[in-house]
Amino acid sequence: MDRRSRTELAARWGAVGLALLAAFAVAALLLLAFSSSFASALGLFFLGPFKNLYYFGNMLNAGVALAIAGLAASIAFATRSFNLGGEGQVYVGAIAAAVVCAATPAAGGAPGALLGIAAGAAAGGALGWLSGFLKRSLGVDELISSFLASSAAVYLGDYLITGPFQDPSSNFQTTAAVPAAFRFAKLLPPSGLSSGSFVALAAVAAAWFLLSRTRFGFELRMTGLNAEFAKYCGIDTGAYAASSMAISGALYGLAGSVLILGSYFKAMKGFSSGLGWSGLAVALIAGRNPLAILPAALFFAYVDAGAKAVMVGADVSSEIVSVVQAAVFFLVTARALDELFLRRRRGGAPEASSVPGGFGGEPTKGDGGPGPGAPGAGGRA
Amino acid sequence: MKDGLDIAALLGDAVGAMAPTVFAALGGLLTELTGMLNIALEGLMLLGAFASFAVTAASHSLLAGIAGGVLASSLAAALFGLVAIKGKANEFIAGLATNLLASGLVVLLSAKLFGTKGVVSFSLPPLPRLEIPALASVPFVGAVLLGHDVLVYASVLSAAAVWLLVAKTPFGMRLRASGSGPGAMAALGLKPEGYRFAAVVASGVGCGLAGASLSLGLSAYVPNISSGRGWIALVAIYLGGRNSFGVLAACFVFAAAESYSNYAQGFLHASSEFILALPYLVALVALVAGTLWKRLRRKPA
Amino acid sequence: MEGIRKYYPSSGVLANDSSRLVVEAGEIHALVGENGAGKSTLMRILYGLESPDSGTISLGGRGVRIRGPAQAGRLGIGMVQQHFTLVPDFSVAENIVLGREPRKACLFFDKKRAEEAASAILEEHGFRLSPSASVATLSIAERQELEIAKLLYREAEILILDEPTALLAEGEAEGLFASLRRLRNAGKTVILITHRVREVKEVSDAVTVMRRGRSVAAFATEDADEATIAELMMGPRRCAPAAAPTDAPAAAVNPGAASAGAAGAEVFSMRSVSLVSRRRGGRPLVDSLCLSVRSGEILGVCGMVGSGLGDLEDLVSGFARPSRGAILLEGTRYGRRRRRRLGYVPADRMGRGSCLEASVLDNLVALDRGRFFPGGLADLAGSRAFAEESMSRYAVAARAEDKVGYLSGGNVQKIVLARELAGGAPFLVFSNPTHGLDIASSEFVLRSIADARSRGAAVLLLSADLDEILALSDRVAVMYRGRIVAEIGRGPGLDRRALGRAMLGLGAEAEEAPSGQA
Repeated sequence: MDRRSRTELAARWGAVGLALLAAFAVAALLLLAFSSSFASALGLFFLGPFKNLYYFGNMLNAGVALAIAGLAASIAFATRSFNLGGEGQVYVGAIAAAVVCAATPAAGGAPGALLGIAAGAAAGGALGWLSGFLKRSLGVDELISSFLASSAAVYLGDYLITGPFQDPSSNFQTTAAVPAAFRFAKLLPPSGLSSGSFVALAAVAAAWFLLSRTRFGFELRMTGLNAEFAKYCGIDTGAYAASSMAISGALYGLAGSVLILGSYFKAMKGFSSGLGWSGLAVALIAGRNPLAILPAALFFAYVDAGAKAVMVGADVSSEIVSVVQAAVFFLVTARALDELFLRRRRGGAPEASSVPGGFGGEPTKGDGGPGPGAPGAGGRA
Repeated sequence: MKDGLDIAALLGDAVGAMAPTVFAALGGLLTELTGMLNIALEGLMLLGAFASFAVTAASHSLLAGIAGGVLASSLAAALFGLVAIKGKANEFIAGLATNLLASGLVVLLSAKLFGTKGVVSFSLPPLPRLEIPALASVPFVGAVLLGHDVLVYASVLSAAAVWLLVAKTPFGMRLRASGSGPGAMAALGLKPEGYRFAAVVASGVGCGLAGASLSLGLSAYVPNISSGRGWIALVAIYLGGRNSFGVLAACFVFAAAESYSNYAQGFLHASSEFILALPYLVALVALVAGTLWKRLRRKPA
Repeated sequence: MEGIRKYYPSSGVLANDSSRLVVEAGEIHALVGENGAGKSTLMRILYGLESPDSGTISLGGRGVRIRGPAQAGRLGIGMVQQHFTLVPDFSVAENIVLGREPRKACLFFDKKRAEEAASAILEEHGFRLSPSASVATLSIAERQELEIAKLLYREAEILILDEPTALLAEGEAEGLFASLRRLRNAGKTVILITHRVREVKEVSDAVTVMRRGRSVAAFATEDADEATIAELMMGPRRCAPAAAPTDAPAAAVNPGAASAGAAGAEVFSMRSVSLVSRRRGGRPLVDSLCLSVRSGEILGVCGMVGSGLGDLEDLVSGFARPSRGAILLEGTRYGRRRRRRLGYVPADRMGRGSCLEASVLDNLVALDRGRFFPGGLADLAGSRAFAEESMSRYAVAARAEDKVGYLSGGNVQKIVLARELAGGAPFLVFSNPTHGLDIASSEFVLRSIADARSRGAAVLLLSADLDEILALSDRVAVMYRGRIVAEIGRGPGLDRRALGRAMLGLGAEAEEAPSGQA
């Protein structure tokens, strides 16, 4: 790798590293403020996940769902779209998987599970596709529409669970349990780690393959990297932005099905995953490389597991995860931090994420007049 | 349950319910005018609600509580502004982070201060209400306009105040210029970033008041008390045409829709979940319609 | 201003190299030079938008340091920039008083006093604008008057105008000049940045000529004629100083030999094409233009900033649709299929011609995806082979995985060339192909273009750089204000002076020239 790539990569790692360090610092601060015994809370938070197989396995299991969610958010980001509907998409995906599996005769086995997964992905994908469609044909901002649609979907999902799909034999508000034949095998008992992890690995591998080895993936990437260039090459950028929303939704739905088939085995009303938001956090840390999703997901799973350990052991609420996530978001997104690490500024190359148009209208960009002869600006008025 | 539809009561409920959304939307309007995307309204509102509740509970003073709520929201908003403006961050992610921060912090504090993550309720001094016996007997107007707590009236007055500020003061002019003509500002040596930051802090103030009106109106703090009002505020800003009275009208319409759905829940025996989903669905439809409308209006150039 | 130096590390451009400017009070001083000469940067420094790396500025004999536009305003300096800085939703009066708004009761905006103040300024200087009119309804000329009024409200004594006539129609420029004279007679000092020599003679009292960041001459306007000024602006060749003052790259290309052969059938034509911008108003960007390019020939089209060359590029490449007229490629109008038959090397090679964040390989295969992604799957071996072959053929010293953003300008351009020329398209468009490139890369690019022509392609070369145009073209058309004002074939009539004059709109033919022949 040439020197400039290395400098930029180092700067990026520096910024991410700083963010992660700060995340730990924030976690420690929170523990100091909210726990009854700081020392033991610290120990539980940082070491708890490794204490035994139960905690460790559960941490990996959480990482599985996070990886798929992170992938989902990433795909949308690849075309500079924002999928804020993860929560709803996971929920409807979970319900679809649970309902379909419960209704399928148990003779199936593996095919039954696949059917469930497919149903989940389809449900989530439909929600995502809605926002993509609205953006492409009507110009509706997908950030808001995905959030609104998914919020409505959560309540509609609640209705479905307590209404038509309510399990008559249960006292809880839940769908019928998924037949044992379809459930993912446990890999590391007594923890919850299931063979759903293979689904996650397969998804990541598939995403990597799609993005780097297929024409579809190539055109998708180009749409996000430089839309003008993509258009000039004849790529239908609008269609790809919409597709990325649909694929993103499908992946969130997939995460929902994995949760059901691997851990919960039924869709309970109000089972809140928070995956919609965590997925965004994972995608932010991982940047553009699908392979970096796995370590990023594991990082968040670790923080999450630590929080759970602390909750059980030292009466601190697991919501510290949200605050830590927030700190990570703040630091990773402040581009000014990146610049701290870069000693020299490179000209020309465009920076990564930017909001695709404010939702009430494009904020006007006022230049004070063009700078002199930047290469390539030629004789244009 | 009443047999017929009591429109006056319905509208009255709407007027009472719209206050938090109005406050938040007005604050958000200011940031929108400066060209910023501000999705942190929901989280700021939550923070304001909790802070005003906690401070009132501790001090037994409504005024202190409201001030506390406003302060908390504004501080969080300032953090958001710092990261987004000075730190040149992606506004969307910074807003998301603010929401996450608020939701997590509030639960942690609730557990620590009140020992519960659930509903917290004390006997707090209630918000003073406006009763005018003479007018109360007027058939329609009485039911709709009277009997609400002060913050409701304050919210309507705020709409007027914001309108005044934006349309009639130099500060408002510069605020608008920061959004629609930042180049003009920069060329004159004025700093659009400063006005953006001021607008962000103002949105914190608005959300603080919104939160206060929620929790103090109930004399309780309920988890997720904002329940999407911050997002509805965003849509209201969009639909209201960047004009505070338009925003006020949009908030009223949403509140009326919610009122109606509460009523329908009892009358039509519709499932409660549908009712809860209704505001989001209405907002979505309104968003689509609004976008379409704007596109059609731009066509004949 | 003395010894001003300004270097931009991010783009590697030395904008001002010991620039010097001396302006007397109460005169209209023209600051002239070609695109990129450093005039705008110098004035931005004066107005406080940029700070110089070194050098001094003095006003009325006292040295000053100008830290920002607000301070410049206090010192009595005002600038009207090329891209107007107006608030579109505001009225005329509001735009004028922004930043120094009259107040009522300390808190409220006194609209009445603002409009009165605006009226006063407008009337005093003869601008016929209504204070309550909305900016959106104003024409370009009126907006310009508004910008000037803004400065006068702030009691500017020195007014800088950056290329004010670039977007104005004929009659409007007259109005502007009348205003400038009025201002001068009222005792104001005007600095006019322009590249239009005719204007210099028409309205200015003194001239400073800049070239490549330096001030090369300063004199009273009456002391020099248009031709001299033009020559001072254009200057001798910009090649490596060590080389002999002949066309070093051109010699290698040797176009004379090729054009002796027959140019073939017409491949590309534009018939009375006009492009009108909805947003800007004023004259059309491209005005009833006719062009024709035949196979085996290079048609060079040159023009300065503001001539419409950029818009022509957008039309030819398909980024803009003509408001009137037809563009035909191989007899058929532009449509989707055209992409195969057109090779396009844009002026904006970073933004439009390549994807900086993607690898060299990605950039090379991006165009002909049918070939490199058979059946939807990437043909890795084939892509890599193509990349290796292209990089060696075009002498790009890089690896296929490297990010294009890290390559030098020359290498990026070669990548673009490799991609665009690979398909054997019959019609090729090059826009400012050697702008900003080093000598070696420039030579290579010019040779590639000449080779393409020898192989029978029809080549359209758009450029503001006369070196390129002269080195390659079989025929040259000159664009001025959206029209073709001259067409010269290779021969004794084709030289820098003739082209330069035509590009500046000089010469009797410039006004009445028909819009080129088909």
